[in-house]
Amino acid sequence: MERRDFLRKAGLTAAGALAVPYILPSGRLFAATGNRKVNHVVFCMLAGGIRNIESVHQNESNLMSTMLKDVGGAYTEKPGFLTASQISANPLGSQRLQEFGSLLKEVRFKEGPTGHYNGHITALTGRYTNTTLNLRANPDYPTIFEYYRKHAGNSVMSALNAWWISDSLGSYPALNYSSYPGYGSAYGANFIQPSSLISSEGYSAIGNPLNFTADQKTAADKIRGFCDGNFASQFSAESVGVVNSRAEREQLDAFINELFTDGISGPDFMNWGTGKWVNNDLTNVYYAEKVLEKFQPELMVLNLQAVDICHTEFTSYCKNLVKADWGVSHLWNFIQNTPGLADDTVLIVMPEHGRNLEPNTVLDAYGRPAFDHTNDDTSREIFTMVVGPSSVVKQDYVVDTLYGESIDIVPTIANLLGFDVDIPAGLLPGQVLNDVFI
Amino acid sequence: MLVYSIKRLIFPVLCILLSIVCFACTKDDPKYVYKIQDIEISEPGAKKPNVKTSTEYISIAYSDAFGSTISNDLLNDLKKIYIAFGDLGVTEDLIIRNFLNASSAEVPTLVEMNQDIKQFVIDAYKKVYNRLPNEYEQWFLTNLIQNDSDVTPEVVYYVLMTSNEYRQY
Repeated sequence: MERRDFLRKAGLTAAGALAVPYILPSGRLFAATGNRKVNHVVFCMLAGGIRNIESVHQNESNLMSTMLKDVGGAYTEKPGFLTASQISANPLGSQRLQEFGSLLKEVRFKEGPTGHYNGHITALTGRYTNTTLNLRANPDYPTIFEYYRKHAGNSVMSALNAWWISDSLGSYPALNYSSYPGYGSAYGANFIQPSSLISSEGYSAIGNPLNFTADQKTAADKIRGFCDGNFASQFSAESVGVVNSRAEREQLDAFINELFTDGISGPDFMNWGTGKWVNNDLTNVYYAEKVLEKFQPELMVLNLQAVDICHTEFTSYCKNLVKADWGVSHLWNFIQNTPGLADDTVLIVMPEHGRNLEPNTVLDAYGRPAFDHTNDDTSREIFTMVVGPSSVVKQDYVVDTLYGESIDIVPTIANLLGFDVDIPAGLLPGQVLNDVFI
Repeated sequence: MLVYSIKRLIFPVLCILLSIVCFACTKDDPKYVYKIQDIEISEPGAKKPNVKTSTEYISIAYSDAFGSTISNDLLNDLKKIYIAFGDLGVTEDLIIRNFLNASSAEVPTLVEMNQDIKQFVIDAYKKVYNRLPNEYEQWFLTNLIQNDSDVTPEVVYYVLMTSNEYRQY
């Protein structure tokens, strides 16, 4: 090789090494502008309306004894409460979840109606709502999923990396993307409502599909290309929700099939406790773990809402709070025992709002009064827990004073995943919860 | 004298010329008039401008697959399943494949298809798209079925029922 050729090729190689993007551990080609603190964030909305009085202040003894250290004493059985034998063992052993991160005891849901859907939208969009909220429509402002998919990489992030796992249907499926111009379904999250999908009705409807061979799929593609090519379609992404690529859809198809197989013959299916321990909240946690295991998404949001029974049964509210607490700790334990997620995930836990100080007129079977949530000051009191690697999150750290709002979760997640500075100015009024970070 | 003779000939000559013009050969049947007929050129699906709702999609797919009307209970179950997963394309695909896998699904057998491929294509288009295939569609599918053994009746019905045209009316 001549000297001139050598120099030219060496120069091109060096230039290429600089120009070719670095492939990040997450599989992304380009980094967002900011630096990532971790590669995975799970946001668990401990929703349904939980009062600080029963959670962090522990007025009914410690109902959240796997997450919180005892304040005035350990969990105490009262009439109607779960007995010790009915409660599954702490997934974290002798430790409490708050030891793995920071607990903000006095966070506020400052504005807007203290309704479940309002609270969810506020937590997912980082903006307060008002009474004009349309319950049948997607949120007006971008969700954290859209911010993530649009801004976390140089190109749109895969929807397999963003999941919204809801405990119920109604309006909640609409929370995976907004109607905001420039965002929307193209940046939406994959959504699943497990207890409806993976059910006996679900199995009848979609559990036994016709399966095609690879050659038949190829033949089907030929016909589909012909048919769709001859038809001017008005069928758009907006009418079908979030859209995955063909390859991603095949993964989702296989995943749903695996969930049915697990539900029918899985040896460890819902094997989390005896009797009626597993409720709808724990079912949601179970399937959230399945999604984490299968796809290892960078962003996942799930909610639990069984405590909302407090409108009529305060005792059941307390029982369901015990279960929700256990589910969150199980989720963290699962994350920490899953390669790829362990030590690279931050878990954020927050109720969407609280409940009133004054009870309504309903007494449950044990004579305890019930509580609604109608915008009084107590219904705006919530807590937030942020747990994660010790190099990122302050460990065993407690803030007792007023700090943080529910609109701060979106900017905090964006900061953790390194794209907060890429979000257009003016969209997010909240602040990053910097006090919990190292 | 000569001038006089020419003048005498003018009249007979004019008469002969006039008769040639008036009584010459004419076309046998002059009542046919040829002109261009206006024809509207459009794509096959252009008359299906509306996207089906999930309820319409499920109900019509059930009727096409089983030849009967879906029950309210099953429709409600399917609607719930339909919205319990974000990517509706995944759910629709599974629902249709589940329909086609049922023993009571009214899909022609492979033998029936191969006995009269042209009629199979016509029947499939009429049943699923509610229209006849055009000449090109007829040729394309017939040719594909004849030359590719992987194109089974289920494959054809599956593709038609998950195609863009089927999602509109």
